[in-house]
Amino acid sequence: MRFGSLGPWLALGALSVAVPASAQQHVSFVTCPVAQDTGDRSDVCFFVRHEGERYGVSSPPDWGNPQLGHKLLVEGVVSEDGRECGGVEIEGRASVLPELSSECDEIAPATPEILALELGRRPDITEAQRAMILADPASSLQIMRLPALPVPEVALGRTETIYFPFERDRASGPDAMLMLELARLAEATSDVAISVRAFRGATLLDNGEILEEREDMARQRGEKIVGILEGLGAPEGSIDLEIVSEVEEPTGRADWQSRRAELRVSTTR
Amino acid sequence: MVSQPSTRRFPVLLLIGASLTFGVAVATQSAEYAENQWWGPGEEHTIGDTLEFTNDYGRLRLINTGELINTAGHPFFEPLGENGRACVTCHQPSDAMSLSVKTIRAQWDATDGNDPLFAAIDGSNCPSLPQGEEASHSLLLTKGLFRIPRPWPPKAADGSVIEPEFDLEVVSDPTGCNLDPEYGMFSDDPAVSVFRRPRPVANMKYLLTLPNGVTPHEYFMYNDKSLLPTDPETGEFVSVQLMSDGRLPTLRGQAGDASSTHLEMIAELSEEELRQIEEFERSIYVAQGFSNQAGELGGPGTPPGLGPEAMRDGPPGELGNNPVNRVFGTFNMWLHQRGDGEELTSQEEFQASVARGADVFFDKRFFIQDVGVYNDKGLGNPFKRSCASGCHNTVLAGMDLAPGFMDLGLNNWPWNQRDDLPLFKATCHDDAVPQSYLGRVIYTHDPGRALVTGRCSDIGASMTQQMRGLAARAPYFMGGEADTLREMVDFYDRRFNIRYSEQEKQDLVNFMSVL
Repeated sequence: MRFGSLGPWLALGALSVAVPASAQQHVSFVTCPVAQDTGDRSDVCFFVRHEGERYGVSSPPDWGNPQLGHKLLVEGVVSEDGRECGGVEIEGRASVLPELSSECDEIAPATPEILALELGRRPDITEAQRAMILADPASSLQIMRLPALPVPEVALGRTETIYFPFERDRASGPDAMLMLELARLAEATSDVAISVRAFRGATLLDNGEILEEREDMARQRGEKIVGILEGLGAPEGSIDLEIVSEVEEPTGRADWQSRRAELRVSTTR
Repeated sequence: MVSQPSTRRFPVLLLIGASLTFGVAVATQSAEYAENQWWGPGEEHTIGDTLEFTNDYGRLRLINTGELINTAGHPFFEPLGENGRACVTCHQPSDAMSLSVKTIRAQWDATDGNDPLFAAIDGSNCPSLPQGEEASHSLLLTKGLFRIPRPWPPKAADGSVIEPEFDLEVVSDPTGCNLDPEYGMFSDDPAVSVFRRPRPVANMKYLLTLPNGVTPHEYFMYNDKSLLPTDPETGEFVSVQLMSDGRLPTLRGQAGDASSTHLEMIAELSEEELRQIEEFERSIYVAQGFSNQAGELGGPGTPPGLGPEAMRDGPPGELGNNPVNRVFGTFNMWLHQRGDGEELTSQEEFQASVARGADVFFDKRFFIQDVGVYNDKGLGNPFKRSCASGCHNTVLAGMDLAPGFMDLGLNNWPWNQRDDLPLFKATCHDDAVPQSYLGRVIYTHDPGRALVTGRCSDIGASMTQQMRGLAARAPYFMGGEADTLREMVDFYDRRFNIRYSEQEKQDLVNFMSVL
C-alpha cells in the first residue's frame, strides 16, 4: 500500500471542521472498525466512528467482514435513511487493510439499546421442527443445506466485472459462481476466446491522501482468474490476459471500482 | 456433577457380531502383547462386520462395511518396508485407527523399545540420536508425535521448488534434527522437521466427499476462493480434509507417500496393493460404541448420532450448523428422563451430562478471534459462534466442512509455547500478504500448511480433525498438546476466554467421551 497526494488544493479539505457527512455524500476514509456484540444468541456486527458519527459498514455478500487488528478502508455513499449496526448505513465497500493495526481492538458490549434492535439474529428452531425431532430423533440428522447461490446468467461477447477488496485477489462467492458459468460457457463454445483484463486500483481519501495498491496486484488478480477459469474447464490457450498496472486517477467517488477485473467470453468465428 | 470415568483399562479384546466366529485376533497375540490390544505387522487377525476394543471410557466399536478381511497378506497390515512397520503400526484398530500415547508407552515397555514403531526415521526425535534410549524417543513416548520432515524450500507435487514468502530460522532445536548435518535444514537434502500425531484412518467418506452446501460451490476453497486441488489420476476435484497440512488429498497418494517415508519402502506400492489399501480404508467406520457410564451408544432410544453405525449410514459432506440438524444430532432424549423430584440413576445422570455437553457444544457462543486463515475468510474478526456453528460443523464427523485450514494458536506463539518442540522464527518478505493476526514475524513450532504452500499467511495453519473415537486416541491436537479431553476443553476456554463453568467443562468432556 502506498500513500500519495493529489496536491495541496485537495488537502485543504482536511483542514475543514469535522462534521458528519450528509446523506448521499461520497465518503472515503480509513479507520479502525469496532465489533458490536449483539447478545448471547446472535452474530456481531461492525461499525466505525467517523467525524462524530456512527456508521454501520456494509458490503456485498461474502465481500469480507471487518476485522479487529486491521484498519478498514470505507468507500461509499451515506444512506438517506438506511441503518446498519446501530448507525447510519454507508452503501459501498469496506476493505480490510492487510497490515496489522493492533490499536483496532474494540468490542462494544451489547447494551439494552443494541439488544432492542435484535441485530444478527438467525432463525431459531420452530415448535413444529422441535416436535418433528421429538417424534423422530433421526430427523435431527437430516440434510439441510443453505440455499445455493444464484447461478448468474452469462452471454457471449458480454463483459463481466469482478471487484476486489483493497490489495486482495479474493473474489466473492457470487463472483466465483460467475467464473464457473463463464468457464462452462467457454467450454461449450467452439473457437472460443476469453479476454481477462486485470487492474490495480487507487483511492482518493477524504483527507486528500491517495491510497494506491501494490504494484503486482493486477498481475496477481489476473493470474488467479486465469488459473480458476482453466481449472474449471476453459480450453487451454483460449485466454488472453492483459495486465493493467497503471492506476486510474482516483476521484474520491466510488474508487473501489478501480480494483477490478473484466472478463469476456467470445468466439472468433 | 458427574465425575470423569475411571481410568481402569480392560485388557480384553472383544469380538462381536459376525467376527465372533473368527477369534483369530486374540488367539494369535503373544502373551505379552495380549495386555494392550496391539496388532503387530504381519500378524493374522480377522475383521468381520464388527470389532470392539476397550478403552478408559468404555469400548470403541469398529465396523467393516466391506468383505471379511484376513490381515495376513493384506498390504495395510504387512510389513512392506525396510523397517518392519506396516500401516497398522500407527493406525491401530483399538485406537480408532490412530495411535494413543498409552498404546505407544505399552509397546515400548513390552518390547524394550525394539518395536518397529520406534524406527529411527520418524519414531525417534531424530535418526542421528542413539536409538534404544527413551530420551531419543521422548516426543513419541510422551505426546505420540512422529517426526515429519518436509522439504525446505517447499516442493510442489511435481517436484518443482516453491519460492517461499518467508525466511525460516531455527530458534531452538531440542530434538537436534533441524540443525543436524544429515537431516537438518542445512543438509544436502534440506528439510524442516516438525512433529505431528497420526490421524484416524476411518470414517473416510466424511473426509473425502466434497463439501456440499458450503458457498459458493463445492469446487472452491471457502477461504480465498481458489479452486480445490484435483486428483492427479482422475482429474476430479478432491477435498483436502485428509491430512493436517493438505499436502496429499487422496488415499492412494497418502498411502504411496507413507510407504516410502514411514515404512521406508524402497519399491513403490503396486496397483493391487494400493487398491486393497484404499478399499480397506473406505470400508472402516469407528466411534465409541459403549460408555462405561452411559451404556450402549447407538440403537433405539439413544441419540441418533452415536456409534459407528451412524457414521456408516450418515450423509457425508454436509453442514450441521443450523438449529434443526445439529452436528451430532439430538441428545434431548437423555436430557429429561425423569419427572420433577424423581431421582436419576447414575447412568441417567451421566447421560444428562452428555446431553448438556452437546448443548454447550452446539449453542454456547463465544468470540472466536484472531484465528489465522479463519477469521480472515470473510467471516470477520471476531466471529461469535459456538464450537459447532463455528469450526466443527460437519454432520457426524465434526471437522470444519469449509474445508478448514486455520491457525487456532496451537502451533504459533503466543498461544502455545512448548519447550519440547523446535521453535522457528519465520520472517515474511515485504511483498507477501502477512499472517492476518501475527504479522510478518512469527514464532512457530510448526509452520503447518505454509510448508506446503510457502505462503506467509498460512504459517501455523492446519486442518481441523474429525471428532469420532476420541476416547480411544489421546493425546489430542496435531501436536498432542492436550493429554486428556479436559485439557482440550481447558485450552479452548483459555484461548477464547469462554469462561465455561466447571459443570460445562465436565459436560463437554463427557459429551466428547461418547463420540
